[in-house]
Amino acid sequence: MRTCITLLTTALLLGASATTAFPARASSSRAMPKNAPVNADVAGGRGQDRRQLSSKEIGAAFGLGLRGGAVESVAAASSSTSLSAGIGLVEACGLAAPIASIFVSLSPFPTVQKILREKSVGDLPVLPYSSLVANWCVKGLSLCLHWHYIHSHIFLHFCLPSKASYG
Amino acid sequence: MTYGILKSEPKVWSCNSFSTILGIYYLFSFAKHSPKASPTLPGSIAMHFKAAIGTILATLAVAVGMPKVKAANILGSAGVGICIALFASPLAALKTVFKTKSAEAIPLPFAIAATVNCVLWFIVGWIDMKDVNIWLPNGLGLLAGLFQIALKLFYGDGDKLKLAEAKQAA
Repeated sequence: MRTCITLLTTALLLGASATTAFPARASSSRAMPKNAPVNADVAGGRGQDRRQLSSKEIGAAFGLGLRGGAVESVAAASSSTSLSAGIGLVEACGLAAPIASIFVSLSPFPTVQKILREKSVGDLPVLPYSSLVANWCVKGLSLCLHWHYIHSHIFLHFCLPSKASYG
Repeated sequence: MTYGILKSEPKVWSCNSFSTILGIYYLFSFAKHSPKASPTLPGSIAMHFKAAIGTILATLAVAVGMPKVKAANILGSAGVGICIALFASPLAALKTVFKTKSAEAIPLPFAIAATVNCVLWFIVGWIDMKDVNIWLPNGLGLLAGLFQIALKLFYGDGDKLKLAEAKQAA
Protein backbone atom coordinates (compact mmCIF):
# COMPACT_ATOMS: atom_id res chain seq x y z
CA MET A 1 0.00 0.00 0.00
CA ARG A 2 2.75 2.43 1.02
CA THR A 3 4.76 1.55 -2.10
CA CYS A 4 1.70 2.13 -4.26
CA ILE A 5 1.06 5.54 -2.72
CA THR A 6 4.74 6.49 -3.17
CA LEU A 7 4.59 5.42 -6.82
CA LEU A 8 1.43 7.42 -7.39
CA THR A 9 2.82 10.51 -5.68
CA THR A 10 5.99 10.31 -7.79
CA ALA A 11 3.94 10.08 -10.98
CA LEU A 12 1.74 13.01 -9.99
CA LEU A 13 4.77 15.13 -9.04
CA LEU A 14 6.40 14.23 -12.33
CA GLY A 15 3.24 15.24 -14.15
CA ALA A 16 2.94 18.51 -12.24
CA SER A 17 6.58 19.39 -12.99
CA ALA A 18 6.19 18.59 -16.67
CA THR A 19 2.99 20.60 -17.04
CA THR A 20 4.54 23.53 -15.17
CA ALA A 21 7.47 23.55 -17.55
CA PHE A 22 5.22 23.21 -20.60
CA PRO A 23 3.92 26.82 -20.95
CA ALA A 24 7.52 28.09 -21.09
CA ARG A 25 8.20 25.65 -23.90
CA ALA A 26 5.08 26.61 -25.82
CA SER A 27 5.70 30.36 -25.56
CA SER A 28 9.31 29.85 -26.60
CA SER A 29 8.16 27.91 -29.62
CA ARG A 30 5.78 30.65 -30.66
CA ALA A 31 8.31 33.41 -30.09
CA MET A 32 11.04 31.71 -32.09
CA PRO A 33 12.04 33.56 -35.28
CA LYS A 34 11.54 31.89 -38.65
CA ASN A 35 15.27 31.52 -39.18
CA ALA A 36 15.75 29.73 -35.90
CA PRO A 37 17.71 26.47 -36.01
CA VAL A 38 15.75 23.75 -37.80
CA ASN A 39 16.66 21.20 -35.17
CA ALA A 40 15.03 23.31 -32.50
CA ASP A 41 11.78 23.24 -34.42
CA VAL A 42 12.04 19.48 -34.77
CA ALA A 43 12.66 19.32 -31.06
CA GLY A 44 9.36 21.06 -30.51
CA GLY A 45 7.67 17.70 -30.42
CA ARG A 46 7.30 16.17 -33.86
CA GLY A 47 9.16 13.39 -35.57
CA GLN A 48 11.78 10.83 -34.74
CA ASP A 49 14.56 13.34 -35.45
CA ARG A 50 13.82 14.65 -31.99
CA ARG A 51 16.08 11.91 -30.70
CA GLN A 52 19.10 13.42 -32.43
CA LEU A 53 19.23 16.25 -29.90
CA SER A 54 20.02 16.13 -26.24
CA SER A 55 17.81 17.97 -23.80
CA LYS A 56 20.58 20.53 -23.20
CA GLU A 57 20.84 21.32 -26.92
CA ILE A 58 17.08 21.70 -27.20
CA GLY A 59 16.96 24.02 -24.21
CA ALA A 60 19.85 26.09 -25.53
CA ALA A 61 18.24 26.39 -28.96
CA PHE A 62 14.97 27.60 -27.50
CA GLY A 63 16.73 30.02 -25.18
CA LEU A 64 18.72 31.48 -28.08
CA GLY A 65 15.64 31.87 -30.23
CA LEU A 66 13.65 33.57 -27.52
CA ARG A 67 16.13 35.89 -25.90
CA GLY A 68 18.83 36.46 -28.46
CA GLY A 69 20.48 39.55 -26.91
CA ALA A 70 23.51 39.54 -24.68
CA VAL A 71 21.74 41.67 -22.06
CA GLU A 72 19.35 38.86 -21.26
CA SER A 73 21.89 36.10 -21.43
CA VAL A 74 21.54 35.23 -17.74
CA ALA A 75 17.77 35.03 -18.03
CA ALA A 76 18.16 32.97 -21.20
CA ALA A 77 20.46 30.54 -19.45
CA SER A 78 18.02 30.04 -16.59
CA SER A 79 15.10 29.75 -19.02
CA SER A 80 16.88 27.14 -21.12
CA THR A 81 17.78 25.13 -18.03
CA SER A 82 14.18 24.94 -16.82
CA LEU A 83 13.04 24.30 -20.37
CA SER A 84 15.44 21.43 -20.91
CA ALA A 85 14.37 20.01 -17.55
CA GLY A 86 10.74 20.23 -18.67
CA ILE A 87 11.45 18.52 -21.98
CA GLY A 88 13.46 15.89 -20.13
CA LEU A 89 10.45 15.20 -17.93
CA VAL A 90 8.15 14.86 -20.93
CA GLU A 91 10.63 12.48 -22.55
CA ALA A 92 10.80 10.50 -19.33
CA CYS A 93 6.99 10.28 -19.33
CA GLY A 94 7.11 9.10 -22.95
CA LEU A 95 9.52 6.35 -22.03
CA ALA A 96 7.64 5.33 -18.90
CA ALA A 97 4.14 5.37 -20.45
CA PRO A 98 4.38 2.08 -22.46
CA ILE A 99 5.85 0.37 -19.39
CA ALA A 100 2.95 1.70 -17.33
CA SER A 101 0.55 0.18 -19.89
CA ILE A 102 2.10 -3.23 -19.22
CA PHE A 103 1.68 -2.64 -15.49
CA VAL A 104 -2.03 -1.91 -16.07
CA SER A 105 -2.31 -5.36 -17.68
CA LEU A 106 -0.48 -6.95 -14.75
CA SER A 107 -2.25 -5.02 -12.00
CA PRO A 108 -5.36 -7.28 -11.67
CA PHE A 109 -3.03 -10.23 -10.96
CA PRO A 110 -2.98 -9.80 -7.12
CA THR A 111 -6.77 -9.39 -7.09
CA VAL A 112 -7.26 -12.53 -9.19
CA GLN A 113 -4.87 -14.45 -6.91
CA LYS A 114 -6.98 -13.33 -3.96
CA ILE A 115 -10.15 -14.50 -5.76
CA LEU A 116 -8.58 -17.91 -6.45
CA ARG A 117 -7.39 -18.19 -2.85
CA GLU A 118 -10.75 -17.24 -1.31
CA LYS A 119 -12.77 -18.91 -4.08
CA SER A 120 -15.10 -15.94 -4.09
CA VAL A 121 -15.19 -12.64 -5.96
CA GLY A 122 -16.89 -10.82 -3.09
CA ASP A 123 -18.16 -7.43 -4.21
CA LEU A 124 -15.57 -6.95 -6.93
CA PRO A 125 -16.90 -5.74 -10.30
CA VAL A 126 -16.14 -7.79 -13.42
CA LEU A 127 -16.08 -4.74 -15.70
CA PRO A 128 -12.32 -4.04 -15.34
CA TYR A 129 -11.53 -7.57 -16.60
CA SER A 130 -14.07 -7.74 -19.41
CA SER A 131 -13.13 -4.25 -20.62
CA LEU A 132 -9.45 -5.22 -20.43
CA VAL A 133 -10.15 -8.14 -22.79
CA ALA A 134 -12.23 -5.92 -25.12
CA ASN A 135 -9.56 -3.22 -25.06
CA TRP A 136 -6.76 -5.57 -26.04
CA CYS A 137 -8.92 -7.40 -28.57
CA VAL A 138 -9.71 -4.17 -30.42
CA LYS A 139 -6.03 -3.20 -30.36
CA GLY A 140 -4.84 -6.66 -31.32
CA LEU A 141 -7.30 -7.04 -34.17
CA SER A 142 -6.45 -3.61 -35.47
CA LEU A 143 -2.80 -4.58 -35.60
CA CYS A 144 -3.62 -7.87 -37.29
CA LEU A 145 -5.53 -6.16 -40.07
CA HIS A 146 -2.49 -4.34 -41.50
CA TRP A 147 -4.00 -0.89 -41.68
CA HIS A 148 -2.05 2.18 -42.58
CA TYR A 149 -4.64 4.66 -41.41
CA ILE A 150 -5.30 3.28 -38.01
CA HIS A 151 -6.35 5.69 -35.34
CA SER A 152 -3.48 7.23 -33.44
CA HIS A 153 -4.76 6.18 -30.04
CA ILE A 154 -4.42 2.51 -30.82
CA PHE A 155 -0.90 2.67 -32.14
CA LEU A 156 0.71 5.40 -30.15
CA HIS A 157 0.43 3.19 -27.11
CA PHE A 158 3.23 1.15 -28.62
CA CYS A 159 5.42 3.48 -30.63
CA LEU A 160 6.55 6.09 -28.19
CA PRO A 161 8.87 7.86 -28.32
CA SER A 162 11.88 6.47 -30.15
CA LYS A 163 10.02 4.67 -32.93
CA ALA A 164 7.36 7.29 -33.55
CA SER A 165 7.37 9.00 -36.87
CA TYR A 166 3.79 10.27 -36.94
CA GLY A 167 3.89 9.76 -40.70
CA MET B 1 4.78 4.81 -42.13
CA THR B 2 4.35 4.24 -38.43
CA TYR B 3 2.56 1.01 -39.09
CA GLY B 4 5.30 -0.13 -41.43
CA ILE B 5 7.72 0.18 -38.55
CA LEU B 6 5.35 -1.47 -36.14
CA LYS B 7 4.55 -4.37 -38.40
CA SER B 8 8.07 -5.71 -38.18
CA GLU B 9 8.33 -5.00 -34.47
CA PRO B 10 8.07 -8.17 -32.37
CA LYS B 11 7.69 -6.12 -29.17
CA VAL B 12 4.29 -4.95 -30.38
CA TRP B 13 3.02 -8.44 -30.99
CA SER B 14 4.45 -9.91 -27.82
CA CYS B 15 3.05 -7.06 -25.69
CA ASN B 16 -0.38 -7.40 -27.31
CA SER B 17 -0.58 -11.17 -27.04
CA PHE B 18 0.66 -11.11 -23.46
CA SER B 19 -1.98 -8.60 -22.38
CA THR B 20 -4.80 -10.39 -24.23
CA ILE B 21 -3.88 -13.73 -22.65
CA LEU B 22 -3.70 -12.10 -19.23
CA GLY B 23 -7.09 -10.43 -19.77
CA ILE B 24 -8.71 -13.74 -20.76
CA TYR B 25 -7.10 -15.45 -17.76
CA TYR B 26 -8.49 -12.77 -15.41
CA LEU B 27 -11.96 -13.00 -16.93
CA PHE B 28 -12.10 -16.80 -16.71
CA SER B 29 -10.74 -16.82 -13.16
CA PHE B 30 -13.35 -14.27 -12.19
CA ALA B 31 -16.15 -16.13 -13.97
CA LYS B 32 -15.21 -19.36 -12.20
CA HIS B 33 -15.87 -17.94 -8.75
CA SER B 34 -18.51 -15.31 -9.38
CA PRO B 35 -22.23 -15.49 -8.66
CA LYS B 36 -24.69 -15.53 -11.56
CA ALA B 37 -25.76 -11.98 -10.77
CA SER B 38 -24.43 -9.38 -8.38
CA PRO B 39 -25.03 -5.64 -7.91
CA THR B 40 -21.33 -4.93 -8.44
CA LEU B 41 -20.72 -6.91 -11.64
CA PRO B 42 -22.75 -5.00 -13.23
CA GLY B 43 -25.21 -7.30 -15.04
CA SER B 44 -24.27 -10.95 -15.22
CA ILE B 45 -21.13 -12.83 -16.24
CA ALA B 46 -22.94 -14.19 -19.31
CA MET B 47 -23.70 -10.62 -20.39
CA HIS B 48 -20.02 -9.69 -20.12
CA PHE B 49 -18.96 -12.71 -22.18
CA LYS B 50 -21.58 -11.85 -24.81
CA ALA B 51 -20.41 -8.22 -24.87
CA ALA B 52 -16.75 -9.27 -25.23
CA ILE B 53 -17.56 -11.69 -28.07
CA GLY B 54 -19.83 -9.05 -29.64
CA THR B 55 -16.99 -6.52 -29.53
CA ILE B 56 -14.63 -8.92 -31.30
CA LEU B 57 -17.22 -9.79 -33.97
CA ALA B 58 -18.18 -6.14 -34.49
CA THR B 59 -14.51 -5.21 -34.85
CA LEU B 60 -14.05 -7.93 -37.45
CA ALA B 61 -17.24 -6.89 -39.29
CA VAL B 62 -16.14 -3.24 -39.40
CA ALA B 63 -12.68 -4.28 -40.55
CA VAL B 64 -13.87 -6.52 -43.34
CA GLY B 65 -16.99 -4.69 -44.51
CA MET B 66 -15.98 -1.03 -44.50
CA PRO B 67 -13.51 1.16 -46.37
CA LYS B 68 -10.21 1.27 -44.52
CA VAL B 69 -10.20 4.95 -43.54
CA LYS B 70 -13.78 4.88 -42.26
CA ALA B 71 -13.22 1.60 -40.46
CA ALA B 72 -10.06 2.95 -38.86
CA ASN B 73 -11.95 5.98 -37.57
CA ILE B 74 -14.76 3.82 -36.16
CA LEU B 75 -12.33 1.42 -34.50
CA GLY B 76 -10.25 4.27 -33.16
CA SER B 77 -13.32 5.84 -31.56
CA ALA B 78 -14.32 2.44 -30.18
CA GLY B 79 -10.80 2.09 -28.77
CA VAL B 80 -11.09 5.47 -27.04
CA GLY B 81 -14.51 4.52 -25.61
CA ILE B 82 -13.29 1.17 -24.34
CA CYS B 83 -10.21 2.86 -22.88
CA ILE B 84 -12.40 5.24 -20.85
CA ALA B 85 -14.64 2.31 -19.80
CA LEU B 86 -11.57 0.37 -18.70
CA PHE B 87 -10.21 3.10 -16.45
CA ALA B 88 -13.58 4.02 -14.99
CA SER B 89 -14.77 0.40 -14.65
CA PRO B 90 -14.06 -0.07 -10.92
CA LEU B 91 -16.59 2.73 -10.33
CA ALA B 92 -19.27 0.19 -11.28
CA ALA B 93 -19.14 -0.73 -7.60
CA LEU B 94 -19.77 2.88 -6.55
CA LYS B 95 -23.31 2.19 -5.34
CA THR B 96 -22.09 -0.66 -3.14
CA VAL B 97 -19.24 1.48 -1.82
CA PHE B 98 -21.61 4.23 -0.70
CA LYS B 99 -24.16 1.78 0.63
CA THR B 100 -21.73 -0.29 2.69
CA LYS B 101 -19.34 2.58 3.41
CA SER B 102 -16.53 0.26 2.39
CA ALA B 103 -14.26 0.53 -0.66
CA GLU B 104 -13.41 -3.18 -0.60
CA ALA B 105 -15.04 -3.56 -4.02
CA ILE B 106 -12.48 -1.22 -5.61
CA PRO B 107 -9.32 -3.07 -6.66
CA LEU B 108 -6.48 -0.87 -5.41
CA PRO B 109 -3.60 -2.23 -7.55
CA PHE B 110 -5.63 -1.65 -10.71
CA ALA B 111 -6.66 1.84 -9.59
CA ILE B 112 -3.04 2.81 -8.82
CA ALA B 113 -1.65 1.34 -12.06
CA ALA B 114 -4.40 2.97 -14.13
CA THR B 115 -3.83 6.35 -12.48
CA VAL B 116 -0.05 6.27 -13.01
CA ASN B 117 -0.60 5.12 -16.60
CA CYS B 118 -3.12 7.90 -17.21
CA VAL B 119 -0.84 10.58 -15.72
CA LEU B 120 1.98 9.57 -18.06
CA TRP B 121 -0.16 9.25 -21.20
CA PHE B 122 -2.02 12.46 -20.41
CA ILE B 123 1.29 14.38 -20.22
CA VAL B 124 2.66 12.76 -23.38
CA GLY B 125 -0.63 13.17 -25.27
CA TRP B 126 -1.15 16.77 -24.23
CA ILE B 127 2.37 18.20 -24.28
CA ASP B 128 4.23 16.11 -26.81
CA MET B 129 1.70 14.67 -29.27
CA LYS B 130 -1.03 17.28 -28.82
CA ASP B 131 -3.52 14.55 -29.72
CA VAL B 132 -6.98 14.84 -28.19
CA ASN B 133 -7.55 11.11 -28.69
CA ILE B 134 -4.68 10.44 -26.32
CA TRP B 135 -5.06 13.08 -23.65
CA LEU B 136 -8.86 13.15 -23.38
CA PRO B 137 -9.48 9.48 -22.46
CA ASN B 138 -6.40 9.43 -20.27
CA GLY B 139 -7.44 12.70 -18.60
CA LEU B 140 -10.86 11.22 -17.83
CA GLY B 141 -9.17 8.00 -16.73
CA LEU B 142 -6.92 10.03 -14.44
CA LEU B 143 -9.92 11.70 -12.80
CA ALA B 144 -11.65 8.32 -12.40
CA GLY B 145 -8.48 6.79 -10.94
CA LEU B 146 -7.96 9.63 -8.46
CA PHE B 147 -11.61 9.31 -7.42
CA GLN B 148 -11.16 5.56 -6.82
CA ILE B 149 -8.05 6.14 -4.72
CA ALA B 150 -9.81 8.89 -2.78
CA LEU B 151 -12.68 6.48 -2.05
CA LYS B 152 -10.22 3.82 -0.96
CA LEU B 153 -8.44 6.25 1.37
CA PHE B 154 -11.70 7.67 2.71
CA TYR B 155 -13.64 4.46 3.32
CA GLY B 156 -10.86 1.87 3.43
CA ASP B 157 -11.99 -1.74 3.44
CA GLY B 158 -14.62 -0.97 6.07
CA ASP B 159 -15.68 -2.93 9.09
CA LYS B 160 -16.03 -6.52 7.89
CA LEU B 161 -18.60 -7.35 10.58
CA LYS B 162 -20.80 -4.44 9.58
CA LEU B 163 -20.30 -5.38 5.96
CA ALA B 164 -21.53 -8.92 6.59
CA GLU B 165 -24.55 -7.56 8.47
CA ALA B 166 -25.35 -5.19 5.61
CA LYS B 167 -25.10 -8.06 3.14
CA GLN B 168 -27.42 -10.22 5.26
CA ALA B 169 -29.90 -7.38 5.54
CA ALA B 170 -29.81 -6.92 1.76
